[in-house]
Amino acid sequence: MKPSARSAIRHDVLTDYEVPSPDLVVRVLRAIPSSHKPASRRGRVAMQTAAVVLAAFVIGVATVGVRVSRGEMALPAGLPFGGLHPPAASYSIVDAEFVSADTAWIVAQLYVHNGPTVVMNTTDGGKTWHEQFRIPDGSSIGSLKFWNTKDGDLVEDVPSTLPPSKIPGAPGSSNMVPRTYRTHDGGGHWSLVDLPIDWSNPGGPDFSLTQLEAWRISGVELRPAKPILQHTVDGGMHWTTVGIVPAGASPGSDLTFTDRQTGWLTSNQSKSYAWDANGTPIAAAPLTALLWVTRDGGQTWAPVDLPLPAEAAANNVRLEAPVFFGKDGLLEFEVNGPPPTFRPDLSQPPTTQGWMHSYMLQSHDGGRSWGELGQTPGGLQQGGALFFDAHHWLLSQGPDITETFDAGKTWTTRQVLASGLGFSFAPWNYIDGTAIWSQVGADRLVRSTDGGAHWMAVTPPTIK
Amino acid sequence: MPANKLSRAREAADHAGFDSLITPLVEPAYRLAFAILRQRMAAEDAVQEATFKAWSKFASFRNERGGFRAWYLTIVANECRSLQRGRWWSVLRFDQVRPPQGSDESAITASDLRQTIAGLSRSDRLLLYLFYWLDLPLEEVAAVAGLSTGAARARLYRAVGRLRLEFDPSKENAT
Repeated sequence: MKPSARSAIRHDVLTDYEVPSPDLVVRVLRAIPSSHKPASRRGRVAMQTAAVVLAAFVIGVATVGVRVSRGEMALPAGLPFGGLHPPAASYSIVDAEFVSADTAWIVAQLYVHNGPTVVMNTTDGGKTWHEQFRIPDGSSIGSLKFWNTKDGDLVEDVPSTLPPSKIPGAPGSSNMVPRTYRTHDGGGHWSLVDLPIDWSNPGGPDFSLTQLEAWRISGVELRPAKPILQHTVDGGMHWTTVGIVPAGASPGSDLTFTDRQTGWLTSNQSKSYAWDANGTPIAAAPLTALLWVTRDGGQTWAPVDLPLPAEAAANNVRLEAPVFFGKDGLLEFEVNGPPPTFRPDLSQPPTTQGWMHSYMLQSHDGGRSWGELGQTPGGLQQGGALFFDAHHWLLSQGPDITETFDAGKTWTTRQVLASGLGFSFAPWNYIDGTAIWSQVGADRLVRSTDGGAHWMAVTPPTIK
Repeated sequence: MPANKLSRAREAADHAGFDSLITPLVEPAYRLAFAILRQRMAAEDAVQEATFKAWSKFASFRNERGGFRAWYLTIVANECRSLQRGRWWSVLRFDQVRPPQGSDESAITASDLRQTIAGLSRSDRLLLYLFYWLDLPLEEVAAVAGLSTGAARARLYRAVGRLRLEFDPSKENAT
């Protein structure tokens, strides 16, 4: 007998469910500006005096603040009054591309129900912004990718006009289809490119090395057919099958290529998807490998042995794509656990609270072997990491930056952002010897031009 | 007063204050955000951000279809969608889970179900969570999803069919 939809959906959500913090309502209400209440007569004179002093102080601070927010002045780390507080946009920054110290794009999702999505560009480090593309209600941004300051692709997901199909992978099986626009002048002009749609993977290429060369995993919806790896060298007009995704790889593997021949499949090993009759998690059969490599453009894949910490055996592991500087490689991953014990009574939440640890592995032979396992003080679980080179890393810890110059042997930590804010470091953050861009939460931006020693707020543009 | 009738008392709500309107809705908002994001901290952040946006847009609330609760949950759902769309979303993303190879088509396991749900569109998943997890009436589900009631019913039926589960006719009739 089939389970009812209601019990199945509830079971699925409750499997992961964590009760909210007891103070969630208080926290939410505190975020709302409170209404003004009249001051008592007794304190009014004292308050008026204080107000004059405060006003003078505010004018001084505001003068500095305006310069900081305009990016004219950078603030050093470790500020006495708690760190940089970049201005928040009145919208969510749902994607960003930073391709040089001065040139960046942000994708803004405006509020109010399904509001439009707008692409904004700056070429002067965030001082001025220009609108380049607007996606109307009903459609949404699929992806935005720039390979340099000129060449970029924008994928807009638009509602399918085909009759809906219940057959996975058949035309109409997805209710949104991608529409690709291409630019060669930094977004000044966009041309619609008529690309064939892979209905088994309508999200588009899984990894693009250049604007013309990309790989995708196709057929993932066509059970039980094996997923295949396809390759294009003409920007997606034609695709050729180059290999089969290894059978031992996780269904949720991410695909990355570091050059035309060398590619990586990084798996996410989750062990919390099944429970026995008592609600105890069942250890899933281990994957044959969490990391796979191809050195022939995807035709053949080989598992890579990783010396994981002991706690990875019984808990969930998530790998980031490896990063290489010549033959030196860095592989960041997290272990989180324990899998929640599921209570037979569905109305009760799972019993355990989770934890998460970040680790780093290093390679010195192009990723053939990995070692020097070390737990990192921040990183994945607290906003990610950026790498200047194989030895110099910046890890975020909420508002703090933790830095190492000796590949994790020693660390220094300093506060950069105001308490309550947090960096969102990610591989697509632009970073070179001196310049760094980073998003802060969902609606703020910061930039450094001296390798992270000083940071400047970037004022998000006003969008109408 | 039931939350879905609050919009009819807009004037009274102004006097009562936004806080008293929103407080009983924080818990269902969190449940919706958690169903979408599957991470407590992210869900709490989404609820906080959505509540602030609701507060800032409250003056423009005009007794929309479905009432205040539907209006607020729409903002919550949009906030979750924005969070997921951002590439800084660095947890295991729900929609990255792909079907395992060679699994038994006839068996509905927790893993199977999850992966099939992950294969649905975001909007179909939203319908499932609103109807079966939050137990909202179909009219309110439709309002949050921006659909007509008939379209919401049809899409729910289709989504459930894809999951190879029984559509709950009693639940449907009850609404």
